[in-house]
Amino acid sequence: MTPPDHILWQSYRQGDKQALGRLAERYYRALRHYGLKFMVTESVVDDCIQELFLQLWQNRLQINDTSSVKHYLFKSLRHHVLLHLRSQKRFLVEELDWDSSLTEGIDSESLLIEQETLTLLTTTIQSQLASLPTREREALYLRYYENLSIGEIAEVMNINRQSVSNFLQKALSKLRNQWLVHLFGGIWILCQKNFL
Amino acid sequence: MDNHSETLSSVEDFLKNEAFRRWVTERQPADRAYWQAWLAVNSDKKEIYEQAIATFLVVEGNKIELTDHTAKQKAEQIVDQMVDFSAPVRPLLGWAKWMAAAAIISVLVWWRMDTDQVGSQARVTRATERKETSWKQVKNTTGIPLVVLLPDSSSVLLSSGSQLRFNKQTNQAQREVYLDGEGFFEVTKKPDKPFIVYTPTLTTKVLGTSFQVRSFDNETSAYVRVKTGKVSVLSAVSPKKPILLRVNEQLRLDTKTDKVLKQSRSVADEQSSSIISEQFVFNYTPIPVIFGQLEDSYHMPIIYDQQSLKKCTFTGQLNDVPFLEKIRLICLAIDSTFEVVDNQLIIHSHGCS
Repeated sequence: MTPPDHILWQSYRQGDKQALGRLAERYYRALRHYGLKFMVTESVVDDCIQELFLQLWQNRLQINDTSSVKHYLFKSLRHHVLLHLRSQKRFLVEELDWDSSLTEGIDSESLLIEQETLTLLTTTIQSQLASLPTREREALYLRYYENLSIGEIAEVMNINRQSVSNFLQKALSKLRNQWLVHLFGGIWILCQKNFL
Repeated sequence: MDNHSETLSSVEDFLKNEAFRRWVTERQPADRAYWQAWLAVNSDKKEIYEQAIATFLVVEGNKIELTDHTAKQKAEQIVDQMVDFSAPVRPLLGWAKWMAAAAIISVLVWWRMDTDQVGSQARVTRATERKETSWKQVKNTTGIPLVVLLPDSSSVLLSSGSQLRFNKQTNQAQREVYLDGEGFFEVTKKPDKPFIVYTPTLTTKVLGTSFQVRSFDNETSAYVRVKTGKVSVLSAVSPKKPILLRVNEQLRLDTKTDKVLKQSRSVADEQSSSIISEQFVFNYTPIPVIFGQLEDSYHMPIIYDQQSLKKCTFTGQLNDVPFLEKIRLICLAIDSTFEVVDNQLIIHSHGCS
């Protein structure tokens, strides 16, 4: 058994750099996945992740305990990507991009679903989500892919909890309409033709 | 297995279900068997299941391919760069070498310094450059101060037992360096790019000036001293309130009591390093004399022809410019060129008549 996050965090704050390394290893993939959503290159994300951990190490005396290491790391990464983009002067507003592209060629069989059904469903859902603002898509990702709580998402995205709830509500109601169409339809393709 | 799966009745239920999430992300054979059985029992929920799968995949988006092995490697690379004094001393000294001739900055090369001959002239060998990262770390274990040339032409006289980490790239919005130990900084003036020195307890921000920072892990006080210009300092004690320091002022932080003290710098206080009070003011001074003083202060050998340069002189003050800028200005005055090779400065000159 590997030690849980909060134990590693404690050791790191007491000066154990291997503990911080373990956390870096544990969350590298998740951080990279999240970072790449902001439409930056892999090397930029790698640099940001590295910078975030080196800064954590450098500032270890000033770092507090945290209720969830994961959301803390996500928050820091988001911050570093923002700093990077600002330094590149690529955008002036606070808004971050959000990449909604899908993995090509998902093996549907392995997920117990027919290829045709899956393709149809994913394209429909994707087009529904594409109409949402980037921040709502980000909230959806953090909630349902990364399984962060509303409070944690609020901290990561630096907005209040109510906004997060609103974002999720909006996103879900969009999706719900789609699910309903599918459920009641049975003539689902027809609906598509009519509505889109 | 999370066993609330019999109550799953909406897409949202699925998305919140731990077992379902694990199944879609990891797709383990055991989970597959479970969900196959689940679908057989709950055939009426097949559509919801399918929608949940599709929704999850859309929210997940482009999946990244990164093996456990790669993640481990990346993490190790990060740990390798964490500056730490309590760790066994690694005999590695990264050393940025750049050449500025006709305002062209040449390729960076990194050097490894052997520490066996502590206190004597260190042997310098080439080390491999790390392509993965834009950060460079320099550790001085030679027993004497070491001049470190930063990519923006600023210079740092790094005391023995100290480490410095800086970004090799010059396209950053700020010039940031991390220091453990003691360093004397001479910063190239760039008003649009603040130069920031981080230590665990003090953060020093300047635009272009010279100052000394000392913050050793095992010492009970840390300080910043200003030689020229002015700097602003943030301490861990009051991270929101910057303190402005001017020429000959210093800020001392007692790390035990967290007391911050701003005071005038007294000359008698400077046993640790004399460069902060040393004057580089010359009046028709012969070049060999100037080079001698620079060699003593920066501990970098300067190779030149004594004979041909003894008739050359320099007049002016070089107090608030980085090491290589001093050299450049002198060379400009005596119509010579220079290059940095193997941790040595080589002067090319036809001499003066």
